[in-house]
Amino acid sequence: MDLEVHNGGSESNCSADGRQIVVALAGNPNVGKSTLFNSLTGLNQHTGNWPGKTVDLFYGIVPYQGKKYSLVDLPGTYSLRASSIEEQVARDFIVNERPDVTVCVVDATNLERNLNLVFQVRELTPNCVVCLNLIDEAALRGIHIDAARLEQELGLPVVPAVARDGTGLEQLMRTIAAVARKADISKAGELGENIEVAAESNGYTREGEEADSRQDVGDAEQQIHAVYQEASRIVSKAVCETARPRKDFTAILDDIVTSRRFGVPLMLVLLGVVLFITLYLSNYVSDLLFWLFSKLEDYLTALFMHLGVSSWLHGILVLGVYRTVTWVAAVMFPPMAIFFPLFTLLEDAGYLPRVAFNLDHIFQKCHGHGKQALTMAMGFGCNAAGVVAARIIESPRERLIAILTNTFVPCNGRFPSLLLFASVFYHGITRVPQSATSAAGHALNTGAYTQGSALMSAAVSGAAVLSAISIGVISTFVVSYVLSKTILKGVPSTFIMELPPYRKPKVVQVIIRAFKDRTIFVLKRAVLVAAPCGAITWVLANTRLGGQTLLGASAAFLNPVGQMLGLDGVTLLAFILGFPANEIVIPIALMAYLSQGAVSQPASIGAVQSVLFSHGWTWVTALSAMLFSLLHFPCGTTVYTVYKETGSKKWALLSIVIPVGFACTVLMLLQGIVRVLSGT
Amino acid sequence: MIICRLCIQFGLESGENVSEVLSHSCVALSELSPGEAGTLHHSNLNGILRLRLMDLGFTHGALVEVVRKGPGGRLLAVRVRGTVMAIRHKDAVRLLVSRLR
Repeated sequence: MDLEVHNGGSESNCSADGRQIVVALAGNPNVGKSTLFNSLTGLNQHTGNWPGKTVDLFYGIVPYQGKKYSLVDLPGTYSLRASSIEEQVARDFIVNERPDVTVCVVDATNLERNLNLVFQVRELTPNCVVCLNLIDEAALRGIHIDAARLEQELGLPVVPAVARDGTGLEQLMRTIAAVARKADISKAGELGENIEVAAESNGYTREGEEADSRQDVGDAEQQIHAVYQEASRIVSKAVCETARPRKDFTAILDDIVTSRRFGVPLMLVLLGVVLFITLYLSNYVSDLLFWLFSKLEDYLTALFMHLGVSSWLHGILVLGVYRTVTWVAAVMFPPMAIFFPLFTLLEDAGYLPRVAFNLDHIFQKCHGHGKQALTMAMGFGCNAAGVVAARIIESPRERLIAILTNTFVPCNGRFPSLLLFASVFYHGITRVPQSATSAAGHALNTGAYTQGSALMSAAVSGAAVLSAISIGVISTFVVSYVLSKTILKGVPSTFIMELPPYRKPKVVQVIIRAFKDRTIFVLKRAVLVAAPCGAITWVLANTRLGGQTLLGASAAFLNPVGQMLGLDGVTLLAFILGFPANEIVIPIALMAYLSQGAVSQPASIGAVQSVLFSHGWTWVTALSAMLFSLLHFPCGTTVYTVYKETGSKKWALLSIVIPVGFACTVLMLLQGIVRVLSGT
Repeated sequence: MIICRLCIQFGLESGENVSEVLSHSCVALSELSPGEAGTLHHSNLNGILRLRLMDLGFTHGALVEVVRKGPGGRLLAVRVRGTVMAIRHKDAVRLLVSRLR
């Protein structure tokens, strides 16, 4: 997921001089296209941002018979009519990048529907190979396909394969090589130029989706109708189907997974297990990373001393940039490295569409999409990843709703602060009389907190997480409803979703892909945003103006607004400076309260609590901070991702404005309620 | 049971009597119970969804089978051309099928 330059493009253009041959993989979703891609390329995969594209594509180099083949994994699509982003990307790639060979991966168990895409690709390019995948599964279901007959009917080479165990892949590469050779010869005849003409004349244009004049729609319908008639004719010639078993494995499992009694509980248990494993394991890894990074910092400082660099440069680069970036990395990386592979396993097994199926009726009521549940679940890992996941929603309106409301799901980065605020809230309520009367200050309070029963604090943490999630989910519903009735009113909306058969996930491939596709992707963006913010924070904390640091002055300036929301200036400032990543909100607040020059890791939760209480925090402050953390603007990485995904500054800006407005409203309401209840 | 206006119109125009017309008239896809199947007659949908459904195989004459209904009956899982697709009840109301017995 390269942000900087379109470095993938240069490779794709090598094809013309014959050094590297570009092969595009097209296919419907859930036909094992990614498995095929992984089996062919092994670990030799990269992501490239192709010219003119906002969406990144995977590509991998396969050496075969002394030549290099650059395989490009196009998004899985049912059609090339360009009615969703993924379809647009796939279609644009075939038309604009002109791959030497396009491989259509089709599902042998479901040939008729898959042929629709084959026909569409065949119209765009003559250099096409059909890979008949999952023939083992088809055989199990009593479906036998005469590949030679199919080849004859389609006029395209057909290679039967089982991508999972590598059957047929050698023949596939041989066929690709043969087609590429043929294409190379015919390229001299300006064949490439014809592609765009063909594309225009067939209505597979980007504008095609907007062609709402009755004539065009009628044409498209006739075309689809003709395609399916031809498809069923071919299937009747080439496919021989013996009687199917009455009920297959998927149907039996679906009876449980989508049942009214077990569906939702099963989902909650799975989500709970995934979150628990993530939060539990990532603590250890985080501690290890903190230790490593601080060791490294000592060496860096020693190096700076040795070189005699001025102290302010050391401050900005090491105490500011380095410390913030490594902080973000240490807190962010472990949960994502654990959460995303677990989540991707569920995705690969085919479970996630069932969740959307079970929950769609709730989302229908607030005008969302069942798949929004999946983007929300992804948001628990990281909101930026949740925003990217909204690509699975083809319907434009519901996709925007899912993107704009994703921040209401607390991500991994916010769980630690939510837990801290919750325990401050709990101690704020239980210890009120004592801390108000006691002038002894920190020492006494610290003692009191550590004496609190471990069981009680575990219960409080649990309850805090649950209530945070519930408040987040309710807010999502409310805001989704309001959005669909106001600014998104005119945006078109559709619903259709495939429930693919369950399949055994390929664990190793899934873990590697989740790691590269999601974890590294998010981390890279986070580091890019964190670096400049680390420098700014350091400068604010270390520039003195009239006896006060700029940080203190800004906090004092923000204090009236903070008070209005039930917070204080420092907390509000910490949230604002925590824009690069929510993980650093509490460290920044502590830095400001204690007038330190740089962020540093607090010794214990008890120590943090006594600092907060001694600066006037009450249970109301803690509750307000918890709500603000839950409902405020998304982090910088997420906003940047919204911009990348929607391609519009307007939506990126709204992704900040909407949550901020909502959070302020909720906090002011809370202030009002508290004031009425306390009778002041 | 929803009676398809086009069926009546075509039937009467081709000189059938009322009982004949009613015997092969359509029901909405949403009227089928799980396990029941029909052939798709025509779609009263419009906009993107109409084309999208066709692209996924919901074309005239296609065999459709209701596999299961989602919670609250607001979602239908429909098997069409070998794939199970979930569509919303409010859209299924506008897809007319001849029920297969």
